[in-house]
Amino acid sequence: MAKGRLLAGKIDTIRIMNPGSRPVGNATQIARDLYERSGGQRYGLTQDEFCVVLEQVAVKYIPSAAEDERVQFWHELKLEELALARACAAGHDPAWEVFLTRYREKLHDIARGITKEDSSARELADSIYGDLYGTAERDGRRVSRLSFYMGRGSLEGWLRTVVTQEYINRYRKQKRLVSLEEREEDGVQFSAAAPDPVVPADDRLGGAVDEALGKLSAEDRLVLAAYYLDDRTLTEIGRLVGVHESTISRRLEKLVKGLRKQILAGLVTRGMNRAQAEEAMEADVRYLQVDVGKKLQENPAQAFQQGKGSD
Amino acid sequence: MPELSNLLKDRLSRAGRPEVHPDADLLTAYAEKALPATERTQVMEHLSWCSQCRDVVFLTMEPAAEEAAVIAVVPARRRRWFLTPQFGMLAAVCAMAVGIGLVVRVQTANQNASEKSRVQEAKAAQPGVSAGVLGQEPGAGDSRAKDSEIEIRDSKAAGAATSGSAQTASAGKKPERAVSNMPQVASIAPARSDYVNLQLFATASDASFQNTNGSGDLPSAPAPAPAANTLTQAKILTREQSITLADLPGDAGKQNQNVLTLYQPRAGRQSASFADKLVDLGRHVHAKRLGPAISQDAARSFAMATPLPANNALDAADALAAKPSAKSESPGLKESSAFSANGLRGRSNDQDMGSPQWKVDHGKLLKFEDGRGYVEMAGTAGLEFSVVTSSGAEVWAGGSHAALIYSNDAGATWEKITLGDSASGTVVSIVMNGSSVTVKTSANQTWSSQDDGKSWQVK
Repeated sequence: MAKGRLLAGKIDTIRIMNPGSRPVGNATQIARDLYERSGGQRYGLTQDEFCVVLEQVAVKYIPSAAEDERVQFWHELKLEELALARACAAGHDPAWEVFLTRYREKLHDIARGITKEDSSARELADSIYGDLYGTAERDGRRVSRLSFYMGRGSLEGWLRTVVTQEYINRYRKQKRLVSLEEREEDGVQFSAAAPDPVVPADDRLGGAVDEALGKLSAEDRLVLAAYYLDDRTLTEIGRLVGVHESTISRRLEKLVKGLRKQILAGLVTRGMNRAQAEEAMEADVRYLQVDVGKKLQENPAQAFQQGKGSD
Repeated sequence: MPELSNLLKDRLSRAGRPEVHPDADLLTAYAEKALPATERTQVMEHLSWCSQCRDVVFLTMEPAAEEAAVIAVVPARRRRWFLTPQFGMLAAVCAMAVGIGLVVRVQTANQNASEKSRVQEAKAAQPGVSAGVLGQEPGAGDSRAKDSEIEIRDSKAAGAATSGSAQTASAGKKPERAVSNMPQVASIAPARSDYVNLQLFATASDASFQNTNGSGDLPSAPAPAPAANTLTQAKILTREQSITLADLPGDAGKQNQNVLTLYQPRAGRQSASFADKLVDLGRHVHAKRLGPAISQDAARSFAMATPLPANNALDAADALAAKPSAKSESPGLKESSAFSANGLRGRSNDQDMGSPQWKVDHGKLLKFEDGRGYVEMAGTAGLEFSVVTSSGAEVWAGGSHAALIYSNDAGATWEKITLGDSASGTVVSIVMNGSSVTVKTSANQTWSSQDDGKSWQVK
């Protein structure tokens, strides 16, 4: 289906105007149902405005979807929270009153849960709150961060993500901003340099390792990275993946054993015999010569073409 | 867990150089498992390479997961088990056992002191223990306040008296009148505390108490909360009538019976003693609340011997009522909300099982129902709630635009309350204190009513 253009201000339809496109069922009824489910009326949001929001969300995530997929997609959105957030972004007071009631204290609790300290939590929450209200202006119009909420997840979860991202960004900035005096006083000048990439003496080992890692599924790589790189607990990883921690434990053991087998097989494929392959596996690569390898330039994930950057 | 080689770790961390990150919506939806399979895989692919986004997801997910664990719908089977009457009774029995243990310890600690005073009184009146001792006790210089009393007799109080063999021999003899009129008590083992008896009387239907002299009806106690099966409907013995314990056969004096004497506070006097607080419980008496509320200090203040002669309990209660020092020995009770009438009235959203009965979530007013969990109150849709307070069947809930509703039948029916024409803001606090209600709004207004919400004044 060709990319359509957005219908703005159209009252009774929420479908993209594509030549030959066929509305699914009664578009007017669908729009009305979605609007009623959202409760946008009590937030001061009109049906027109809400339809525009729905179109925006569909264009962002499923630009090429068929009509029935779009309708299904809209039904899976958090419609009520989406209406609330967009009504707030539009500056409707009834929406802000509701938003304050529900989320004012939660925002501070979220910040406190992340920073573990009250004063910085309050500062972080106030800063986010200012962004949500829309202290920034673009083309003379107040821009609220709530206009980036798309209703895929809960509004509270979205607020939590936004606060977390802001916290991580601040933390990284503070790490870079270290004065010269502080560096000398704190002995930073004696700190170890950032670790260089580890390059094995034998390229075949590197190739075998890359091949073995490449064969893993995304979830397996995620589990390995979370455990061995991020030092996350089995419980945390289990919650992320959606399985019990004992399952994660068994999976990790199986993955490591499987990786070893794959690497050994890869080394044998590359001309080593079994003994050589095992010896190569056991060698401690920390003492090998390090070199910034260009093989570190892997292809980035191409999954998110439609949305660049994060909110 | 097996270790990964440094090379593996290094390659795992450097394998991807993602330049495009998923937005906050996608990360949130991923953490909440709200993405379809295709998108979920895409996000997972990115997370497997991007440590920054992994950090965001983990930090975002941790408290959310804990909250979800709290409010998530519990599997029906586990919830039903937790909410069955059998579990409630088991919890009540366990709490009563804890209470008995604490009271026994308290009685043991105070036994010597009370025994000494009794012996002295006995010597002053007549040799050995006789009913006259009991009769003289109220007038024997006892500094107890002149309050009416509720006496509960354990018809099976065969607890061995600790003051002597003669007393012991007669300890098992009990007034038949008491036995015939207190079937519930008859089933209680002698070693158990009268504290336990108190609870059973509080919950048994048609509980009644008989004075020993068989006189007519006694003046009933002023009831803090009317109910069919509460202590407040117990017949109260006046001080003079308590003297009639002397009429008991043999030497079944006070110390030979399991008697827990409670004092009905005078009107206007604050309930300060342990006994007073027990009386004030009314229909809110639950063993589970009483058990944990007894602090070690309180337990020591009125420790009873094992087994439990009645007079020890009487002395213990007397000590608390009459002696300021006894009160100071049990600060825990004073502050214990379980024994404070104000605390009971002020307690809100507390169920016997520990879960709040009422709560507000996402602007909705929710009530906890057995077997169903939290359900939205019918008829309250369209209102944006922010706070709810309850005490027993009375429920106050407030929300945006100074909206306030009230129910006195646990949410079966609701009445809309109008604070005043100038009321504005969102209701942020509702405090109940008897018939007095105080409501605060986000517009810095404080509205108070002294007549259960019929009229309001703004401060």
